[in-house]
Amino acid sequence: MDIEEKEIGFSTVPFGPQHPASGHFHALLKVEGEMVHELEPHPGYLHRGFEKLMEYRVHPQNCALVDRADVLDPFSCELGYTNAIEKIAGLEIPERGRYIRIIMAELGRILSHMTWIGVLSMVLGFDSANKIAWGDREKILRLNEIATGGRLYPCYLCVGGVRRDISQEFVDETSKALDYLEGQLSFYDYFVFKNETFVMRTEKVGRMSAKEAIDLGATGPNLRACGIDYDIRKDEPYEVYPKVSFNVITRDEGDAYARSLCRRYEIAESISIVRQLLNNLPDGAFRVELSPVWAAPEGESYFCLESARGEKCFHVVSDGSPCPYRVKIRAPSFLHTLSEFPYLAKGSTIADIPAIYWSLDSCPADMDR
Amino acid sequence: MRKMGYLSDKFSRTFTPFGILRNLFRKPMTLQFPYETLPPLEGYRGRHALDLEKCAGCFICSMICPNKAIWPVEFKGRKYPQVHLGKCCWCQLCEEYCPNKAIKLTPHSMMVTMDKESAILGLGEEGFVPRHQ
Amino acid sequence: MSIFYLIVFPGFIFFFFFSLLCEYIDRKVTARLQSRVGPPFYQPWADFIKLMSKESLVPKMADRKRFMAIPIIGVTAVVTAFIYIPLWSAESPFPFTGDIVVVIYLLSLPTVLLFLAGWHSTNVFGTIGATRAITQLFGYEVPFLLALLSPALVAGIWSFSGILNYQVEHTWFIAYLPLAFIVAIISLVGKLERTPFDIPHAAHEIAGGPVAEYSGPSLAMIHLMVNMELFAGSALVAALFLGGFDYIGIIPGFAGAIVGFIVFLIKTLIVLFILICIKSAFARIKIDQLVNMSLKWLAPMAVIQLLIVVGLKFAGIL
Repeated sequence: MDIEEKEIGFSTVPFGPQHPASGHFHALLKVEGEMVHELEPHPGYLHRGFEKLMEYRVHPQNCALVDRADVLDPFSCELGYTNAIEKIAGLEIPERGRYIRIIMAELGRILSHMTWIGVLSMVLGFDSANKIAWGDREKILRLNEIATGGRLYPCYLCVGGVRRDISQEFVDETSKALDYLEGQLSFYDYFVFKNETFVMRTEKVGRMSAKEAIDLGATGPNLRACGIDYDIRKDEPYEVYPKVSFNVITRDEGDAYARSLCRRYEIAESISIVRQLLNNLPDGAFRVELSPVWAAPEGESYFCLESARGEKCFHVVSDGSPCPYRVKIRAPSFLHTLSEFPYLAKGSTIADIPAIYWSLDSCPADMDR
Repeated sequence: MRKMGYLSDKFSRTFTPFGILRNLFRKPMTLQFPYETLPPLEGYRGRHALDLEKCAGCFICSMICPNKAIWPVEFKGRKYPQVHLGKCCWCQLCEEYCPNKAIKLTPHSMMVTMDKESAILGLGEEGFVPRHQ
Repeated sequence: MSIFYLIVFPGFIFFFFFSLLCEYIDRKVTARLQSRVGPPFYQPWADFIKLMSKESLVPKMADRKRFMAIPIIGVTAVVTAFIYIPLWSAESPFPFTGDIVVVIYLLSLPTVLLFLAGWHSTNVFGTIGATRAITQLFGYEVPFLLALLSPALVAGIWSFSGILNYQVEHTWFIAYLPLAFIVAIISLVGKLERTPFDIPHAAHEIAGGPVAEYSGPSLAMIHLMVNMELFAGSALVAALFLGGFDYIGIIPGFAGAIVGFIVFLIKTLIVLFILICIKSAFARIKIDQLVNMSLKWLAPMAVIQLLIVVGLKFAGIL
């Protein structure tokens, strides 16, 4: 695709990276009037060489740094890395450790979806919903702070369990925060999701059929909004997911509005999962103590999990030394931005581009690693 | 008939967002910073503190630090660790693996300075004291 | 005396301070609706002074004189329009028959100037924003004029003094022209380019649109023009539909003029509050949806209101 040649009647509009709506992602749009003919994505502004740098660090160091690989949903990265290593070594984690891990992971999913509501509203010009959603997100950041000591980068999981126990104060604050969020969800229903202008901007925009979604590699809520019932937490469950009951949200239309509704109902499901886990929290140890230079035996493993964006997989190869030999992260945002976004952007208008991009919920840090 | 349902949906969706007017009667969510803050928590990962009596000079903290932000400095005839706050990623691994629990992360988080030198936690009489107070 | 009217009282200095006060009220009430605290009292004046003290950069391929002249023409147009709106009695300082038409014409100049500003920026975002501004002009101008035609038709004369005198003798027009009031408010949101119709300056899609290349004193003038348009537009709707300076009871003389002025300001602030609530509650819609909506719903509503008025006049009721 060579958009640089000038044709009469067409102009090249840059979308980012210094742009209020694009995050750290650059795309060139070939535009005629208001109609977009082609979109050429230029990723790579946040490439830090994660996978190579992880080969030079031992496991505790990697667990502390890997949550920068997806800044909006850090628990999923830590969960993926630790579970992949434990799968190679065949380590058994105490039950309390597993429960705490999934409580924090589901709270991280709620956090990611609240951030997403705020950003999608901001790019649609809906300033009020942005400010209110980010204000409510502060409740979960406070919960992160109580449990782990940091708001956005928790550095909480380690190979063998979790690094700190959760206190009774955390359990009380979590119940209060979940009650508050459930009340706010009914507010978001009538203020955002049933707001006439929001529906006008997102209905029938960026429509994908089920076959197109599978061909383009969509996962997560983008796939479930096209009618396909695929959720790794139900189909290939890991950690304590076999013990909790929840619904998988699917919708049929496949447009941006359906994706938004999928995520909104997923917040409600996550709240119910956290409540079930908090009620049945077992006592006991939460960690298997390991030395910092503990080495996994030789082998490789491929571990898939459902992050807030979609299917995230870690392929780890270990050669018996304290540092992993190779780590490969399959990031969901890579396919969302680089294959779905150009396909859906063809034939839409400039005003639809931010709506499509953010309804696919891609994180530039996750895309580039 | 379906058209009437669709139109009445559109109509009600145009008026329900005005429910935001209820926010005029509630207190704002903002905490105005220097006057009102959330109480600091004990486990928060903030600035480091070193207990000179307990430190054995083993430098496990320096070896485990993922960003190589800790390195040795000479003080009263022995070597002690020194932390560069600009490189630190606040992961608390140094506290976790210190055998004598000499280096700790305190909840102090207001670390703003215009001077690069003071980002290095040097040594004074009582453990870590920034060079320019 | 007319110099005093032009420069100090309903002229430039009063208008300048009061329109920045309207910006403060806008930002503060919007913030409280969003559960935030909002800026302090002196913020709009501080912003103006800060922008005036910065350097104004002009793009290399743009024509410097025209680029810098556009904001000044805009401010002049809006200040001239405001002088004809009567603030404390039925007559403005310079009344004449047909002054409503002059005011409406001058208040639609800022949109055309935004188009010129975007075009002269030689920036691709500016060009897209400029085209959108002109398309939006087609959308809201027709319903706005039709809605403002109804009060003039009822009063029988196309001037502010005639309409206000009619409202003083009978009730305010909002009581028997509700459809026209609704159409006038919605078209006013389009004219002032506020959410949900702030499509030309859609910051999130086209990084500011026509005003993207302005900085320094020119940008201060553009912000001033937008705020002044806000105050002038609200004052226009308050004068035509809410009765202007009219209040219950009569106090003659100079004290009566002061009370009338305060009542007028309160009515303008009520219209401003309605505009702020509309701004906070909605997202931004697309340009084709806007033109569709206004030509399919707003213009017919205004025409129906006109037919009702003609019918009632014919039947002798009005």
